Amino acid sequence: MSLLSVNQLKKYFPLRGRFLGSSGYIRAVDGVSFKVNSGETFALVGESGSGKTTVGFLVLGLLRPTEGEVYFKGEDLFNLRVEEMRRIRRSMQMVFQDPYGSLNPRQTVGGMLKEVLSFHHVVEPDLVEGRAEEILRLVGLKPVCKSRYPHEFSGGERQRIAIARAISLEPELIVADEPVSALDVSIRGQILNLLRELQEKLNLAYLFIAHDLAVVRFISQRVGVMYLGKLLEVADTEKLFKKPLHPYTKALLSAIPIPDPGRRKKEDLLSGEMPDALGKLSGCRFSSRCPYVREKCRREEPPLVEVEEDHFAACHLIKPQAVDSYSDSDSR
Amino acid sequence: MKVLEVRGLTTRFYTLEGVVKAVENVSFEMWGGKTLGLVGESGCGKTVTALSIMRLIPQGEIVSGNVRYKGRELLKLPEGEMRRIRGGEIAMIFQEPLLSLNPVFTIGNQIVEAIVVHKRTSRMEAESFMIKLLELVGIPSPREMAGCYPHQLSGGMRQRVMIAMAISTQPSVLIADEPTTALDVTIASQILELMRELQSKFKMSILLITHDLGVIAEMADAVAVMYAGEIVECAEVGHLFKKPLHPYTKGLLECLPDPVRRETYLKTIPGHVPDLRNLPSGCNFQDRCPYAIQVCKEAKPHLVDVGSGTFVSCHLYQEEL
Ligand SMILES: Nc1ncnc2c1ncn2[C@@H]1O[C@H](COP(=O)(O)OP(=O)(O)O)[C@@H](O)[C@H]1O
Ligand SMILES: Nc1ncnc2c1ncn2[C@@H]1O[C@H](COP(=O)(O)OP(=O)(O)O)[C@@H](O)[C@H]1O
Ligand SMILES: [Mg+2]
Ligand SMILES: [Mg+2]
Repeated sequence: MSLLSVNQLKKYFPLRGRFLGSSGYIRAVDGVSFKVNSGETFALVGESGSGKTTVGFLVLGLLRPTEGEVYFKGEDLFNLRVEEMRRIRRSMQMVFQDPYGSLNPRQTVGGMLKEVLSFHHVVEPDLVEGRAEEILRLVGLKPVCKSRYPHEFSGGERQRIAIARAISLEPELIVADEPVSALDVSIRGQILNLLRELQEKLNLAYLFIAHDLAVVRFISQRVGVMYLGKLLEVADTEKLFKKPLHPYTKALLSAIPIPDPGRRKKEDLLSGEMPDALGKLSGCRFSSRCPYVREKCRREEPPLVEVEEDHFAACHLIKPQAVDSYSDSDSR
Repeated sequence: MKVLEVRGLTTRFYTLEGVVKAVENVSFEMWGGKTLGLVGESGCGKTVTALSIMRLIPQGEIVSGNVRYKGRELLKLPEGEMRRIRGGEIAMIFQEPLLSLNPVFTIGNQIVEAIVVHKRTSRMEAESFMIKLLELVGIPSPREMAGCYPHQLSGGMRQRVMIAMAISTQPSVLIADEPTTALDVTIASQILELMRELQSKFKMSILLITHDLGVIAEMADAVAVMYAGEIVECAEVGHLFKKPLHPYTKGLLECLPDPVRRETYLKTIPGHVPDLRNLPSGCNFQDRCPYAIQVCKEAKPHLVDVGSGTFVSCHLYQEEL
């Protein structure tokens, strides 16, 4: 059984104000399914506005879906009684891009950890102090940090504090939404290494949300590529990077600037931009930008199907078995 | 041709918590039609360097240095003449165009205004030129888009508008401060491609400021690496990536995840950048440097020429060693 199982999840936000009359909804998430096993990292990548954060909020039960289910350890998250929900929420924690926004500026780091530990009765009252120090050590901070306030720390250290708070409740799943996006390269690696280390020590599963593919490659075992509220491709991380199938994934990978001046690319760039998730979307979500688009793509939405073992893609041009059947020559 | 030469530029901010040495003794050159990449982590002084060149430092002081543009000393120019250079001969674009566009005017109006001010043409001429510019920067249906307000456009389109405005006066130098940092990767690559196209068309020199070494590798001819307000290494782009000399440059390049192999552990640079209000004596990088020796604690290294157009500021490369 998977730790987390997300089934045909949808979230439509009603439109207010100036767009009123156009359609009524933003389809932020529009039928997304995936599973996360315990101890595993599943990454969601995609451009901003593709619905990643909304999926994260739905998984944590912070938003109610328009349709679809979220199962955590087999329990249907949105059909639980309040106490049960509270119990399950403890096992699912989150870490955000901006740790500063989620930390109380007037509370010392030690105070914050002790409050969390005692409020949720994680350990006996006389063990709280010791546990707080242990957690700080786990995230690579010295015990003297206990008496300091968030503003006294650097960006990287503040992200360590946010991680400390998340693991203090002994969760099984952490939803990490762009946790290293705001950090400089020299610090980014420190936090990514820490997340990998903690995963092994504590058997954590991560739902790791990012737009940086290099980061995703390092941290995740499996990846889902989102576009306009849909998953277009889901695969093993290594498979996805070595042999991307969906035209969007290919474009995304080739758009990453490579830090090697000897390999400047000249190939076609993806033209256009991701449209709004407004109004009626017919056909393939990617059809307006796809270099291989055909008539059928604009009419009919391709389902996400397993084209190779554990490799899913939603594209009319990709046939199971004969995966290489589309190329520049036979399109258009 | 040497278009812009910066020598010993030093800019400071005086705050209640002390003097911020944001830019310290910075020197570099920009050549006609070439791109100089200025790379470094956040807070290292990249933006302040650019704003100092434009003399847009109202809250701080340009303490010393020279900025020579086609033989003229910009730091000594009367403000009136400087205004003509700014946005005329030297144009600048920023990470977030929304902050530099006026929200209450249509983008068409704003570009026309910029053209009229700098080129002293009639409104009619300016308007048809504006449409041409929007076309040039790849804005679809320019006539309709000209009537849009900045907030109605996507981030990528706004950056195109900024570029249109910047090139409207056919500047010799374009300073682009993190122009793609706020954009998604597929849009970012379109903008970089556009900048390359326009550069070869108009032979502009570009100062490309970024924290992304990938962007540098794609775009730059030469690179200056900044750390804590100083330039620590300056080299031709091929040299810098193949044979980085400064320990900080080496460290930065090693931090990048391997594109071929999936690592189990990422290399990092230990510690974090020093506080610009409270810099150590000696080298600014000493606390994080794996090669630090006694002299690094005592004396400031200076940028020295180590051949093949490479300059490095590190005691490991000073002549006396
Ligand atoms: N609370 C909300 N109300 C209305 N629209 C929202 C809300 N949250 C997100 N959206 C919209 O849903 C879409 C997906 O957003 P988000 O999940 O934040 O994407 P991502 O995290 O991939 O950038 C966007 O178009 C966004 O504007
Ligand atoms: N108006 C100001 N007052 C005080 N300090 C400033 C001001 N503007 C910038 N600084 C400081 O100058 C340093 C360099 O900033 P900046 O050039 O913006 O860095 P970068 O662009 O490399 O991220 C930073 O430490 C910043 O805090
Ligand atoms: Mg998001
Ligand atoms: Mg800056």
